[in-house]
Amino acid sequence: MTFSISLILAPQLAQARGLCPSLFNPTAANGDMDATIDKSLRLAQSVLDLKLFKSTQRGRKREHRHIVDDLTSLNARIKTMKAEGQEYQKDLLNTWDQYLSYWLQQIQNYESLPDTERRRMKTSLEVAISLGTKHLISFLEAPHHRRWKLERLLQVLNSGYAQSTGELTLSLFLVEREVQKYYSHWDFINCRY
Amino acid sequence: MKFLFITFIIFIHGNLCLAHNSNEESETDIFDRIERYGLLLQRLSQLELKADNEKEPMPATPYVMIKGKRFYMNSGFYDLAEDVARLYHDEIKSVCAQCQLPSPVQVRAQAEALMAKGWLTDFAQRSGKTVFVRYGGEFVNLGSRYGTAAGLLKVAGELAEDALLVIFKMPGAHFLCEVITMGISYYSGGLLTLYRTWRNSHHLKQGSLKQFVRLTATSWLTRRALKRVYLDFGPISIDPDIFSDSHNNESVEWLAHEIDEEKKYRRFFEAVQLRLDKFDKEIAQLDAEILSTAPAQRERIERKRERLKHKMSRATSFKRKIFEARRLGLSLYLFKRNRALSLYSDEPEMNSYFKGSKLWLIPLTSTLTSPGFTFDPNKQSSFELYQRDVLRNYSDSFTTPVDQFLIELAGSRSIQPQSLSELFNDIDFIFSGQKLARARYARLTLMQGFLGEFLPKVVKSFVGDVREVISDQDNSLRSTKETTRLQWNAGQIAYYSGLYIDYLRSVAILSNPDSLNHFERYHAKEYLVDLLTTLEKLSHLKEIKNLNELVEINNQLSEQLKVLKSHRFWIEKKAGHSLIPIREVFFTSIGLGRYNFYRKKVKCEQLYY
Repeated sequence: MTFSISLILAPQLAQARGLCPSLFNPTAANGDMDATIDKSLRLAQSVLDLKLFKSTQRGRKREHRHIVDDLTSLNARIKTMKAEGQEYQKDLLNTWDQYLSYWLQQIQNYESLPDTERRRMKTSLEVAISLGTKHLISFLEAPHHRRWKLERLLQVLNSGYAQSTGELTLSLFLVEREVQKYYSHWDFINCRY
Repeated sequence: MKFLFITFIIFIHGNLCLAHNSNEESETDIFDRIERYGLLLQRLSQLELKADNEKEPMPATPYVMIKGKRFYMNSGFYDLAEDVARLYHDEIKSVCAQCQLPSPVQVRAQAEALMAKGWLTDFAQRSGKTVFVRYGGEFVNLGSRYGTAAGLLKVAGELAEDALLVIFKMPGAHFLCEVITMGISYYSGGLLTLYRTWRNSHHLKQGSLKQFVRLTATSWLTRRALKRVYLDFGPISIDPDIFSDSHNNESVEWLAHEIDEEKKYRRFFEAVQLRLDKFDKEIAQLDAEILSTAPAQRERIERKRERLKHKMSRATSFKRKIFEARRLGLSLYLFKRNRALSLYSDEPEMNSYFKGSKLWLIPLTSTLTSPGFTFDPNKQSSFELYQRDVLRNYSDSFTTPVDQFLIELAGSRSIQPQSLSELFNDIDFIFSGQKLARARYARLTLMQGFLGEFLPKVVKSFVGDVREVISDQDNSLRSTKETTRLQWNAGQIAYYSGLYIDYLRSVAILSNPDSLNHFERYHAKEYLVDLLTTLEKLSHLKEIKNLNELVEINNQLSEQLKVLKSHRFWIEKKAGHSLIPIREVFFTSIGLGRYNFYRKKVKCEQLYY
């Protein structure tokens, strides 16, 4: 990976801080990467506990395998990022931290819903979680980092809750809306955009 | 340039000499002729265009482009023309001294006069416009609204018609083609709906055949109900506060773009009131007459009084059939079935309010079923299925955060929340699994009347007005291009509205819409907001003053149409993956494919490459 663009990305991050100050909490900016990793692991475990992607159907089993692989590989990469400690990486981790905190909370809200509502929202929650995960992995794996890439990633990570009041339905709708406008396929789990 | 010019002159020169003086030419020796041509070539080769590009020519100076270089038709060109004319003049004079020829100076003056008239540009413009109007107009009219394929078919039909008329000299071809066009137009609406239902069935995870059967049955039942059921709204009373609010809001104002329409609208109710006053007086007279008449002779007067009361009831009631007919633009079709159903037939001045421009009916139809009016509670049961819910406060009805988010989004785009809330209500009704399919389909007809029938007419009238304003100011090719572009954009709005309505139609006929994705209805609402945003951009046309403003509005409309195209949520989210995507691109370009140019189709791992 090429991390020589931290200077190029600096103005973009500053702009992003202005737009979404809650995402760039100064206390978290110096933050504890171990906590972020823990959160990431907890999210992965929560998602797995929900059995969102489990199904008797063959395709759904494959999806389940994919999300487990994604979250595991993401945690490994976050550990690598901790070692490198670039400026923009810290900010990105903080954004990711906020993203995880938010969706962990939403998963709790989801669990408290009646069964009918849960069944109806299940697919949307899968999309919401896999959207951010896939994008972060893709960003980290990209050989060259550019400003638009970070911009797009921040947009994706913020899409679910930047305009919402923390309500689950609205957050899921905003994520679906983001996917609806930018992608040709819903199946993030199988990497078929 | 010079070489071409010389070749041209020699060719003309040779032909003219042969034509003018063939006897002398045949007698002259071949070597003499070669010598003269050689001399001519030598003299022409010494001619040089004067330095055309030394000074910047005026923008209006005509030029010809040869091998990427501009040759301006300025004084240098005319000097050369004069020199060539002189050569030609001398050449002819040498063999025919008696011939009367124009002097080279006269030839130059004539060349300058011809160029000043702009004969070339004028000819090209006239020819271009003729072809453009003949075929381009037909293509834009049909292609923008029903897809490029329909436009191309129309042009092919026009070409075939011209071929029959001109080449084969078939005098009845025009009439025959008109009949065929009428037939196609009559049946194409139903076919298009079926085709779109088939396309939407994939997205809704329904069987195509089942959807066809449902559509046919539901639409037939609903249409029959709308034709046969007599729904009397009963005496209407107007709530002045709400009525004036709803009537004065912007959304109504821009729809009724003619000022006189509002007056008509008010005069209509005044006329109803006058008529009621007249009946009241007559009834009061009859009451007094009854009191002064012996009981045995009262029967005739009482019957007359009853008749008057019945007339009063008719004067203040809107029959559902008429109401829907006006709304759906099916008046001719429905009235033909039953001529007796003529609203206020005994009052010709009232009928006039329904004639001509129907724009004023939009505020009427949009407010009839909303809070401005209250109806006779005893008669409400008859139209329970069709009447919109009365919303005193629109914000109370949409409590979900997504609805509120969408209403705020619409508010930020200058769309009136109250008018939007009524349409949101309709969408909720269509997506409601607790309602009958027939009722949902009937509710759909309200939206179809609004989005599918009236709005295209409003848009068309806007475009016609703008065309007049612009053509009065400027008759250039640029203005023609921009007005045609506007016409195309306006047609595209109707096209996307039609797609959207057909999607809602597919939802309305489902047995259980609750099985759909949880957010389907919210996507439908957002698309409606997008449609209304596009219309809001179009509404700026009423203030248009010059061509530059039209260009600006056209650009905005084009951007908004791209949004409408890319946000079609009912299209299956599947990119056309192919090693040779020619087929997809071709079919999409003629409006038949699913290839979506506005969506990224990258692989997961390549998102940020």
